[in-house]
Amino acid sequence: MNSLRVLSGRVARSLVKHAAMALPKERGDWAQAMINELDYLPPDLSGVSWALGCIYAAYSERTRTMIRSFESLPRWVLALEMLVCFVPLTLLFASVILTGLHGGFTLPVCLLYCSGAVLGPLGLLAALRSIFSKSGAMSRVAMAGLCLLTAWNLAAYSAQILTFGQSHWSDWWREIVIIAVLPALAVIHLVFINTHRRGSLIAA
Amino acid sequence: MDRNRRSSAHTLALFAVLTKRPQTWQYGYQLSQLTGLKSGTLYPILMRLCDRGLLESKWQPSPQRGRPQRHMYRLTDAGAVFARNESRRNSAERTQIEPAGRYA
Repeated sequence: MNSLRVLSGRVARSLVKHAAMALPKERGDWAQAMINELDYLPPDLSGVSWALGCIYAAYSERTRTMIRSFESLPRWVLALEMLVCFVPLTLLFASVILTGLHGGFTLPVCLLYCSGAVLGPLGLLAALRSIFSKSGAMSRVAMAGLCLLTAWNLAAYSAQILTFGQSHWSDWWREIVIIAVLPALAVIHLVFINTHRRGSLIAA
Repeated sequence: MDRNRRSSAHTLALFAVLTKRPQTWQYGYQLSQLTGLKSGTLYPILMRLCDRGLLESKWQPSPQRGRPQRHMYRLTDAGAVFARNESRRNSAERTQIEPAGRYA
């Protein structure tokens, strides 16, 4: 029983120290408050519960700080990020269209590729409009549409890899990053920014 | 921007405890016990309230030797006014909703 108390005390201390490390630097006082408070808790599992709560609080605080820094990114940085993420897929979309027009693909294959790659130009347009337009945040419908297209792009590209197969990881990891991962990250970031922008517009 | 939003039920519970003894400094674990809030809910609220100048905090050395100092909290004057207004607004909204709910 006594050893259990000692063990739970040690676990709680380690957890609360982790929470203190996870808190942003400007919350140093709060980190110390969490650590010190542990000394006054009864020597049982309530200390562990307290420490787990502190970790949750620290992570939420860290996330809020990240949100604030994301929101304060300059427009040109955001635009650059969106260009890097969406331009390769836009070029792929254009090349699929051109190849299709020259009879390089059958119509169903061309449509399938286009349905996934269309995320490139649409995402780029939506992103640039959202970054530079003064009209406000992107609509929920637009955000939902982008998310669906991203999911479809990921699914279609994964299906293509699974169907046709690739000989080696090194042959296709660049493609999956450029075609699927980067646009997906950009969409997540766009939705994230616009959700917070909508929140502030509603609250204002 | 957050100032126009309603206070959450957790914040109102904390206000209820803090306004009972507005001049008394209270520590985190005590507030957690009195409100029933876990530390994961309590600390973010305390931080927000401090940021907004509604709550003040101070370090108090422990009377027992060898124990660390504690972080204590109490409402500022502005915080006390805000807490009272929020509680009033909340109870007014409740009374508006309750009759409709009763006969629905």
